[in-house]
Amino acid sequence: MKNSLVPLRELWPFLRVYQAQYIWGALAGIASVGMGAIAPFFLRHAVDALSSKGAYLSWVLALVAGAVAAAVFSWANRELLVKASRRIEHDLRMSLFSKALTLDSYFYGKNRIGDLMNKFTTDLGAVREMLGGGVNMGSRLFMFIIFALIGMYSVKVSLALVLSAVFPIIFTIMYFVLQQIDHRYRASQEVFDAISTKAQENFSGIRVVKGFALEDRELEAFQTLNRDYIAKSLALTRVDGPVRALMGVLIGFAMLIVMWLGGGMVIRGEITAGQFVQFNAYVTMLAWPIIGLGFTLTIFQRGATSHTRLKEFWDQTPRIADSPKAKVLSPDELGGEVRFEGVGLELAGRKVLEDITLTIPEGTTLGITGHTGSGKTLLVSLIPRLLEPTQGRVHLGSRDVKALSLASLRGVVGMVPQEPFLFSETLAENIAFGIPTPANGAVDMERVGWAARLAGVHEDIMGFPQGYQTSLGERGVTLSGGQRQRTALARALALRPKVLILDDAMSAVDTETESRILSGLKTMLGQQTTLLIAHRTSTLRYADWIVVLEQGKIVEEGTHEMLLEEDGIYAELDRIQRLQAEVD
Amino acid sequence: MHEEEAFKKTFDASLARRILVYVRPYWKQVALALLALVVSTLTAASTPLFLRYAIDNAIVPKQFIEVAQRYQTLLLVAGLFLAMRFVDFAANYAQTYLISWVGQHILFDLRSEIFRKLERLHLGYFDKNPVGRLMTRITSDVDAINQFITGGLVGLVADFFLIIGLMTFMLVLDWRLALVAFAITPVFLGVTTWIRNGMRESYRTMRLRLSRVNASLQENLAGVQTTQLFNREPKNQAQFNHLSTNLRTAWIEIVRWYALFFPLVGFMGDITVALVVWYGGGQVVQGALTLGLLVAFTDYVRQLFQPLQDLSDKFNIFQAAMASSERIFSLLDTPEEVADKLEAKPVERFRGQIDFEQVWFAYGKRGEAKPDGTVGFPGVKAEGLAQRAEGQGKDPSSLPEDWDWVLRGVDFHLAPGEKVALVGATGAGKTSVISLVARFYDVQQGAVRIDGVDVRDYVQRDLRRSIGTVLQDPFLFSGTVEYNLRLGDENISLERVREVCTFVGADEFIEQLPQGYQTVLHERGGGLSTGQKQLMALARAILHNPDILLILDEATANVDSETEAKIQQALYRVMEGRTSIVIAHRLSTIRFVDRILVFRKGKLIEEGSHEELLEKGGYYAKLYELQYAHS
Repeated sequence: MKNSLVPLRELWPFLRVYQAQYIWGALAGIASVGMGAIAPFFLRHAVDALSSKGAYLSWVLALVAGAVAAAVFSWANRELLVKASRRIEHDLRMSLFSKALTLDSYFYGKNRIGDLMNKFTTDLGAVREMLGGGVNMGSRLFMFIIFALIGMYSVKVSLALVLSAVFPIIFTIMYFVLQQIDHRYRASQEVFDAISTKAQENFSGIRVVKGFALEDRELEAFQTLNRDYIAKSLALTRVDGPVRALMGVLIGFAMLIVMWLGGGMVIRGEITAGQFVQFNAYVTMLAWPIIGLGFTLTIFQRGATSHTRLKEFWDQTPRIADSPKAKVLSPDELGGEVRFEGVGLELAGRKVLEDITLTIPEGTTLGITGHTGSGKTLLVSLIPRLLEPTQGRVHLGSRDVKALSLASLRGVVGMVPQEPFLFSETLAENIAFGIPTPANGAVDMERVGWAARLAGVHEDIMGFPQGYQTSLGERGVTLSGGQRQRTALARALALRPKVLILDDAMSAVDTETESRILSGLKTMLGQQTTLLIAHRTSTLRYADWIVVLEQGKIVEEGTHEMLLEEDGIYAELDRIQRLQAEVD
Repeated sequence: MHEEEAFKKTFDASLARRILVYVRPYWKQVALALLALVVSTLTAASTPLFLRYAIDNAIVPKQFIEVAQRYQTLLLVAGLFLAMRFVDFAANYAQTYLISWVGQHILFDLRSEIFRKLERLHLGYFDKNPVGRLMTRITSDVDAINQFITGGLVGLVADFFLIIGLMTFMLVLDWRLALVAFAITPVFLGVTTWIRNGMRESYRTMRLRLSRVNASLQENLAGVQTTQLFNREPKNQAQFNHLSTNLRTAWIEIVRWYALFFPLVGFMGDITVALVVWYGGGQVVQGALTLGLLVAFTDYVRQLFQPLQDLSDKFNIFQAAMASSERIFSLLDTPEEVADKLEAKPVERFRGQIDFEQVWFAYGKRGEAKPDGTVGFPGVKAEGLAQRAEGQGKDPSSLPEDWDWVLRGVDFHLAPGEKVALVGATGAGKTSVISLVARFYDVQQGAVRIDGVDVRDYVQRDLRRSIGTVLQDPFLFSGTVEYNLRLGDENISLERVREVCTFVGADEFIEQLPQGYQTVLHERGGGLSTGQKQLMALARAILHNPDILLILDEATANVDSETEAKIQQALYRVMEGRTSIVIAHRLSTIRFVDRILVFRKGKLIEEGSHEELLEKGGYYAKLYELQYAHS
């Protein structure tokens, strides 16, 4: 219990916002518990009045009044406290989300999305459960037990003392049983995971299964796991199933004591029949909190574990962030020249870029080519600071990119990756993705249309029934690879970038369309600096200067013609591609 | 979306009947469980009677009874009471255990049946249904049916028993007082149903919004780099905030219902007790009723409200099960397109003669895109699908126009022991040829024959057992290296495994693994290099001693020259003396085969030895220059 309070303290900034709701909610909870605890008292007087054939009606009315009050308090308790926990859940989710948006590619390279999703679902859920149900149930149960004890002691101290000795025993037994349930539940879940893995493997590897005629053997293996699951599940049922009945037996012992000892007291005239009934009611009342306490403990345990995981996430600091002295500059203040000065990059102990020195004057196009894994994408990723060079410097205009704020740097760099990520929004919203939204929230359709035309995707978009308002993703259309790439190009162009990076961005676009787009880019803009990664020499022809990368180093550079004349890697590439065109 | 809409599906008698078929084998257990249920109902219903007897005959007797006598009665009642609790415990235990037992066995039966069905279904089914969907069938859908049987159906019967039992006891004990106690039940049922319906609606809204939050979350995490590059953090945050706020509103709506539910239920219980005390009290005063009976009645009232409370909950379980069972049954009812004939031939050994006779083949109709864009073997992009039937070749009028033909009238013949290489551009149909020999798919026209018999006439498993398939990305199961090689075949000795591994040159690296052959491989053989996995795949195929070898030898980057040399040597060795079809990407491979078949756009356009074809100076010569001359 003590450790369980640590996360509560650490979550205090979130809790503080709702402290009023929490305090009033908890008070209402206590009041409702108090009302519940007082009912047996009224019942006792009603019974005593009946035994002596006296006036009992006022006690019945008291019972009704108590019931009304208990209901109102109980309602207020949930309305305030549980609702507050849902609000905190939202606040926590937003806090996690904001954090997620600040983390860099180093973090996302190491963490799988599935695991991150778990933080947002399972872990967040467990923490919420702790702050809502856990806190509420915990405080209510605590008061419940206190009231019931007070009630019992007020009736008859000697009898209450005997029961006070019995209840810890019952609680210990129940706690042990609940722990067993937890263990056995985990054990059955492990087998269940194994079943899932087996099924998943069989479905993904169905060709191997069929190819080697493994159907029977795999079925047997699957069934063995399933049989194990039956055994584990039934082992769980053996402790989990009869837990209420077990409680019945345990409480039965307590009631036995009350009946025997208490009954004797009535006979001897030490207590009245009403007091006996009252006492009996308290014993019954205590059954629920004993089970509840065990559950509450589990909730706190899970909440604490999940909180630790969330905390790890909150404590992450991105390597790529604004430096304290970062300059916020408007696009006009930034030049378009890109310069790499002796740039080297090491990733996981491997040198992936070495000694790159290049100057790309404003308004010119640099073509980059090389085999898969030669470092082309890594090189261009250094410009918008998706990665940071381990040696040397990258300059934009006359400034080191590190000296600029991320927002001003990225505001002038338009990047189109090979497999672009589009969001499940409308096409218009996707293309306007990087344009700062005006106050009225409307999309600048003129600019969107301009960018789409330039990227050669306007015709495609107009071909959809809803044009630019067509949604992408599950509920919308599925774009072809080429359409996706051109939409991503339009998105980058809509920024009117100073530096445009095309990372094999038209691999799925046919050659004809590609050359049309590239010539368009040249004549219509000609302002921006362009980095063009491509495999096709027909594409690279558009570049003013071409570099060939191999294992992170520049091995050839020059204009298209110069490189052809040089008769090196580039020339060979060109020859093969011409041949390819003939074969296809 | 689908799952969400399906949730609304109401009770369907024919589906329910089909579910009940799965209960039938366990009717004895169910009957026993029901018996235990009756017992536990009786014990629950009789408990208040002990209290009543104790009060009326010992604690506050109506007439004078000796003190010693009263003590004795008290002791007797207390003892009986405890005994009753034990009976209750035993009955309860028996009931929950039996029901859980039945539920687990039904789960087992269903899972096995789905699994077995899926292992029998043709590959085309897997092309169309993503693994995630199939996983849902075998996990959550199956579980919904289990819930239906154990929680829903049995729970309903149990509650019904309890309600009837308690009501009967109350009516028998004092029908007037019972009627007073029942007075509030209609209101109670009305209120709980109203709240439950409200809750169900809010839950539906919540689930919809939750799935939107999760979808957005997934998207934002996957596209975080794009968001950062375009400085879109504030706007995405605002959008997510909107979704999350909506979800919060939905949750708060649910909390509102809960906040009403419990106090109202508790309140109505209290009111009923008050009513009983008020009316019963009058009777007690008049001497028409004993005090003990009155106290017992207040107990009955509280017990009665629990099952009444749960009643409407059961129907929700029913609805969920309907949707799930419909999905499961539709899977189980899927016709198996590649199935064994009734009098299918078993295979002892193949001599290894293979004939393709005017084979026309398509994976599907035009425009029927596969979900992951792959057909044939995993990792091979189905560019062949994009190609259009040109209507040329053998009598196109007899063939439907709208199919996406991958092979168009392919005709070739392999003598036993002959080694051929298939060569062609991506999408030319090479992979399909291999898939058809192993009968992963059936041809639309023409025939594929092995040893003169149509492959459709063999027992599928025998056929495939005699054919060794080597994929370029060998699928490795999680398990030891040894398991992945033997694939669970107990007849293969470890010596034989080592022998074969030495033969293909895989023994060396396997021995260098931390636990040698007993090293546990992780998901999809992570930790092994591509070259090592290929060697394992070769070893695996040879271990099962096939008569025909099919090899997909796609060019792979990241294979070091040493491993490369090993693979080449291994290929050469394993193909010797076996009819082999290899999709070659290595110069050395095409050099030592007996014949090369050149494919272009689904047609066999050239064939002959490497030298003959080069001399001819046709398509192959160009292809050779392009694909092999530089490797």
